[in-house]
Amino acid sequence: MNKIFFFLGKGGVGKTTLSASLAYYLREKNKTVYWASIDPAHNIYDLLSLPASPKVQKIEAGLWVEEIDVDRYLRRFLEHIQEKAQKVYQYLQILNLDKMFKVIKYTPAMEEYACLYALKEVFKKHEDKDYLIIDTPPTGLMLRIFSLPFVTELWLKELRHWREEILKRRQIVAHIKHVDFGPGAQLEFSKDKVFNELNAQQKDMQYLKDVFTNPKKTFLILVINPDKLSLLEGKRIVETLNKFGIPIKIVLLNKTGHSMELKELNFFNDLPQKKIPLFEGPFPKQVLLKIASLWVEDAYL
Amino acid sequence: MVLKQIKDFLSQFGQGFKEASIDQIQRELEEMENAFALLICGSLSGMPAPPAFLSLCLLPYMERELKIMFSKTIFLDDKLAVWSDLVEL
Ligand SMILES: Nc1ncnc2c1ncn2[C@@H]1O[C@H](COP(=O)(O)OP(=O)(O)OP(=O)(O)O)[C@@H](O)[C@H]1O
Ligand SMILES: [Mg+2]
Repeated sequence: MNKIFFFLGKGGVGKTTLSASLAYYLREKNKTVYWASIDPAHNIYDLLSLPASPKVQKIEAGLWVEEIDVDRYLRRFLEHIQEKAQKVYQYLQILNLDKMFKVIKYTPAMEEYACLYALKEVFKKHEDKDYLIIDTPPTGLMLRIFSLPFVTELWLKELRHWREEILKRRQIVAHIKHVDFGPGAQLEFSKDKVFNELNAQQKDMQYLKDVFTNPKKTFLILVINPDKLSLLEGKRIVETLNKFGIPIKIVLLNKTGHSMELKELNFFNDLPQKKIPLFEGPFPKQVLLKIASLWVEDAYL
Repeated sequence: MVLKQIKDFLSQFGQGFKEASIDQIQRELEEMENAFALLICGSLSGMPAPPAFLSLCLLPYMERELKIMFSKTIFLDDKLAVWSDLVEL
């Protein structure tokens, strides 16, 4: 089983820098690493001074990098739905995918689902790598992504129940009377496509929940700075994830200087923490490795 | 002879009874299918409903339910057009 590291924290606290330090550290230990960002602001390539690319890039032996293009995943998902729908509904042929994409992209929670869908694909596609490192999008979005499998599962449970009741009644009616339920309509649970789709979705959500909550597989790293706003945001992250039973592995107090008398820091006292001082930039590989040596423990690996 | 008449009567009676209840189940079934479609389409038209993502996944398989839903809507003109307008597609 490979391991997945997520870096969370307010904008600018050092998520990308610290995820880079872990990626290089793991490479020094000869592990294979897939390092990705689902941040729409995309800054892994900035840090590496490489031109942006929509593809997975191998930047050195055993190290792959990707800026996950969430829009592409959303588009692919919609294309897939459209293809299936067109087989059934002739009138959908008139729908224009570009228009549909624009509307649906701004439908509530659609971006979150696209991210979740992208993550699921990425987890499966890179199962062969020893470590997956995920640099996350802004906090609000990321917390909603983490909560989605839990929320969706409630809906799935409800819809499955409804569907079961519908199919049971169809069976009763068909047993006594000859009724044509129309094209595609099924009586058997195992043949009903709606029921099968609900089951498939439930399996996906269960898989994601298992990944998010497995403390042996998934490590959430919270990055904070000694400033009030990043600490408050860090607190919100811990509290929200707690509700879903997603544990924080370690808190990295990045950019620490001498003045550390913030009362907001007390909240994190019960969590394992490491301090990382302010470094003078820039951050070439050697510096990143030095940063890693301050916080990465072989116990995480 | 009389016995047979009584028997026939009883069996007809039973048949009628069975049909009444099966019609009732059938009506209930259609109501449930209608509600299921309304629920699924709700997220596409802004009503409180399951996530749009889920609705989209189910949409390709809901021909019967959507037909029932459209046939029950109060719109008497082109129902598909109304619905398409609703979801702004
Ligand atoms: N320990 C440190 N000492 C000094 N500068 C640091 C340190 N850690 C990060 N920085 C600097 O802080 C800035 C923000 O870091 P970084 O891009 O890693 O943060 P981020 O959390 O990924 O930001 P964003 O939310 O914008 O993606 C960068 O200029 C980086 O070089
Ligand atoms: Mg970043």
